[in-house]
Amino acid sequence: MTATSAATVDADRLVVRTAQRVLVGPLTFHVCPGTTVGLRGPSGSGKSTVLRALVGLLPAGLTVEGGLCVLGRRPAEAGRLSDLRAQAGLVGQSPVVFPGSVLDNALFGLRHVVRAPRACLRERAVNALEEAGLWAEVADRLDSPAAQLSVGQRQRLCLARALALDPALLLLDEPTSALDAGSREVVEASVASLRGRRTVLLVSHDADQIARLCDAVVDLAQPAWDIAGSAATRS
Amino acid sequence: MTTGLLHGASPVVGVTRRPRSPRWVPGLTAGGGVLSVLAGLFVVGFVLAGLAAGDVDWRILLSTSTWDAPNDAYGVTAMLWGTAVVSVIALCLAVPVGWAAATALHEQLPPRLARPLRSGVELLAAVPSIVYGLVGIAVVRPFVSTVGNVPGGDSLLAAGLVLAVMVLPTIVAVSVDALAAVPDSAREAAAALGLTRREVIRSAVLPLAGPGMRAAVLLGLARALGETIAVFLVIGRADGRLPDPASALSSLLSPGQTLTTKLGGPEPVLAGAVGSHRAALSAVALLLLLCVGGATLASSRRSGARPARRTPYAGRFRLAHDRTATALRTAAVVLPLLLLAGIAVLAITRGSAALSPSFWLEDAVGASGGGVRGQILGTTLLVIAAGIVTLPLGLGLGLLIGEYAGPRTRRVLHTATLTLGGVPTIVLGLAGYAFFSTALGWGKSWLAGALLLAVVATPVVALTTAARLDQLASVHREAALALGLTRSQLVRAVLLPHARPALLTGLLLGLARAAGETAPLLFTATVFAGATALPLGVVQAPVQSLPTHVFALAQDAADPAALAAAWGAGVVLVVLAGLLLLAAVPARRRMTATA
Amino acid sequence: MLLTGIRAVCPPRALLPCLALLLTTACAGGTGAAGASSTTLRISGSTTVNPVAADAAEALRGDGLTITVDTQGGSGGGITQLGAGQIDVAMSSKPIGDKDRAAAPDVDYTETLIGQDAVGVVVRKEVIDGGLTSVDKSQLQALFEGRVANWSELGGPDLEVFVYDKEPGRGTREVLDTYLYGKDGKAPAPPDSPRFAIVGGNEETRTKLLSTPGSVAPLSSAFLDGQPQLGLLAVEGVLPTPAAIADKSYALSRPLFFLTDGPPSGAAKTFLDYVLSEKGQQLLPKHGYLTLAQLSS
Repeated sequence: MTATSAATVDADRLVVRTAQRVLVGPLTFHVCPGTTVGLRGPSGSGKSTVLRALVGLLPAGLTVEGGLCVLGRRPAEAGRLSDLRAQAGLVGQSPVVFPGSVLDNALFGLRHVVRAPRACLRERAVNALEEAGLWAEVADRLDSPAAQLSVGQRQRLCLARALALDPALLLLDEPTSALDAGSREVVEASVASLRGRRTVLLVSHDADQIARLCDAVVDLAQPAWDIAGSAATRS
Repeated sequence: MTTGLLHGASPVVGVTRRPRSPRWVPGLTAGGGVLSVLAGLFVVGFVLAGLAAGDVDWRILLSTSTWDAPNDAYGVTAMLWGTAVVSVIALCLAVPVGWAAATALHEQLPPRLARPLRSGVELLAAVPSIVYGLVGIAVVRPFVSTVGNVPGGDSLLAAGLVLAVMVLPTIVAVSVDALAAVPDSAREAAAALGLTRREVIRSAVLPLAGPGMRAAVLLGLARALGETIAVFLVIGRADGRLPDPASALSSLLSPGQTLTTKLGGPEPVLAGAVGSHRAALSAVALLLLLCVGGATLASSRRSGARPARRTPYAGRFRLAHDRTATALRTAAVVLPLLLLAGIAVLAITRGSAALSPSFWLEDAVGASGGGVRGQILGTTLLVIAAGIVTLPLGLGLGLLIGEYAGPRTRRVLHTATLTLGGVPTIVLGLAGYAFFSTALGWGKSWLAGALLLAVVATPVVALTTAARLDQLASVHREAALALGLTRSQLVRAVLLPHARPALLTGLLLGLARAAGETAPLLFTATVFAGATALPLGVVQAPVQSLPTHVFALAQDAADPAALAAAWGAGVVLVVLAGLLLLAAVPARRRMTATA
Repeated sequence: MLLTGIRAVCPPRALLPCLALLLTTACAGGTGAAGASSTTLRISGSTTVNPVAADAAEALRGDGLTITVDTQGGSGGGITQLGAGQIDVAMSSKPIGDKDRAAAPDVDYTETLIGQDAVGVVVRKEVIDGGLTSVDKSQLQALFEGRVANWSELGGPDLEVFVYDKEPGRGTREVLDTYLYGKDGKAPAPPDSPRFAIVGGNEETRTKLLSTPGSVAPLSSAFLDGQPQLGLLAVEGVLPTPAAIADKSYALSRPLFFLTDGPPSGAAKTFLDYVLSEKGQQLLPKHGYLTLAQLSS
């Protein structure tokens, strides 16, 4: 595997393990620019762990082996993981909003990562809210506390927060599994709207959801990892 | 959206375009850690330097009871005996009451009632030790004198009784925390099987809360071992009193000496910088540190939950037993409250001087006339200056423990901070005297006092902050890191706002404790009369303070004017400490609301 | 290691706000604080001399002199602190000893006699009422070595003895020890008696005597004023009357000193001159001591 791979994510016999045992892998797959790839598997199969390995957010005690290249860099060698993370937005299972207003939250990453005039940052945040399909609902309440939003709105706010950084890769970790049915639908609609415009790696235990949203599937339950790999590359 | 962007060619968020990470964060953290370590070394260094200043014959020191400085005879067994006896008396009285009261508070009383009661117990914990000393003089000495037929009442028993009152709130508060940590599901599961309340508590709750409740006892022990001022006033300070086994019991009714009261006396000042006297006193300080440190360390060690020792089987009188246990526990709650009420009544009746505004606004005149304006200003100055030093130190150390350190370093630092917080304040005072007053030539200086008080308050701030950081859900940290924040930015944007109420609470609690401290100031910072209320310099710039004022006046308790002035100043001190606690209430409420 | 330790505890960054704060509070409070130590006279030591010093300080405070008075450690504490340069004037109720001079060879201890006092053997009134009015040297030794359990052993009432001895370094104790064991003699170790306790300053001694039946303690006779429950024992038949103190026929009479490093100068001289002046000398009888004039007459 080369570091100059054209793929956004290039995993080659990727293994995540503790000192004692292997948790995930070996796993080989590619995510090509502009595609939405699903990562499927039963709960406990290590889907979330793979996502975290991509951006160096593994809990202490877990190590990565094998080849892994994200956005042209190896996470293990990336000089500053924070730069890599700023380009690979991760949205978690249940919405995490920080204390502060809706706008504060949309600006949260931008403010710290991008040095630009305030008005410019605000514009990017607003664009991100639009892209996440939330703008129409929050346009008149940008300054009210984010904690007052519904759970579906909060999850889309988290999505917007990541999109505001204009990430080259979006990592979605079961973005709808903690939501009620109604919220699930709107969040899924937002994710669907990203298809073809963003490079997305979507983790889900829901095969139907992956079928609805994704161009290709990597199945962790599938022992033949090479099949999954080619499936992802095929797109 | 263009394909260019899709290919990860979005303008690389490079070092040049990134806003600067707050550089003070790592500096503050490292600084807080280093300075706190140095504060610990400062105490240890004082003891070691003292030991090196003369010869100590450890064999004789640890095997004889005679302490006679003019004849160069130094034996500490009598002091060890005194220390052990007063601690045992204190714990024997305080532990059963404290445990029962804690159980009643958390398991039995409705929250509506339990919450104010718990605040009352915490208030008892915030009463400065010098006020307990006054209570000892006013109540405990006469009590022991009458009941035990002891002339005067100065005795190990009196010291033990005073200490029992002092450690009770510690034991109750920590035990309630331990009970609160037991999940409700355990109670529910046991109650669902038809167990009575007593059986639920005994079989389901206590085994889980046990380690925490035992830690409460050890923390109480550490406090009893390290207390100087209150004991000093009622123990009689008689050296060489090591009874033979036959008279051990009756010796409780006669005067004695503890490790702390030896250090609180005039000898550290008289001993000078070198010689065997100084070395022997340093050995006493070392023994004291080892005792207190041992108790503190033991309390922080994790011990597993034990099952109920004797599996209880249903007896014929299980319902009657349940009622008896409930009644006993309720009675146990009443006791600390009676104590609080008693102290309040004593303070208000004897310290009625404090009710007049002129007492607050006038300077002291002569030995016991006038007011305490100078003392109030001095204590305020000490507390504010200590707060200014404590805030960055405690925050830095708290961040180091709560965020930066790896699991092992973290445990070590946590224990070290706990130990630093447990260092007997008399040892701090003597170390400050040796270093600031003598080695640096500051004489008596308010800054020396403030720095020593900062050492008292910093561990409180650091531990509260670290505990609060622990509560932050890991998803918050992850969400912020996933957006590309650096560690310093994470601290600035997420951790600090989260920890702010804890920081404030810890600071106010720590300062409330520091405000009442007498022992660190006696040798280093305060004089009885004549200091300018607010000194401008640092060197040779003493202040007057409330606790040391009370301490000086308390020794003249036979003079009604002096005693009234002492109680008056004591009430003022309690009010000031109480105000600091009160100021912490909103911050604490916010903390529990968002926890 | 120790040195760097403390330097670091107070970093300049933390110091600056402290100082700024002080400046503002001092200004806001409007307290005309005297800054440098040159105008501050630091006095510490004997609780016996303390009332005189406190009154003199009070009187001089109006004249722009800042005087701090403290009693940490009694006479011995004052002498040690003067030796260490931590105070300007030490109060002492005992003459300076060779051991004190040896401990601080660089310091030129200079005594200024300001008056005379007596260490009284103070007991509870009931002891005197019970028939014991005088003790001799050997009886005193027996008392303070814890060898007397009941006052009847000395011819007093059937009442248990409780001894309060002064802690080390107190002038009162050294005067008593010098009388009992000679100038170079050493007192034996404190007795292993359950009826023996240690006290510090004169006020504490008086407090404990008042609360303990059958108790005895060495205490400046001046501290008995207005205490009907306490009484003085004659020593070798002599009571500490002003006359007996002045002509030193009372064995435990003692001089009261202010000590300075070298002849007093500056603020210390102002202070001492005041105490030696007619006005200042009047403070001594006010607190129960003899003036210099009474001594020489």
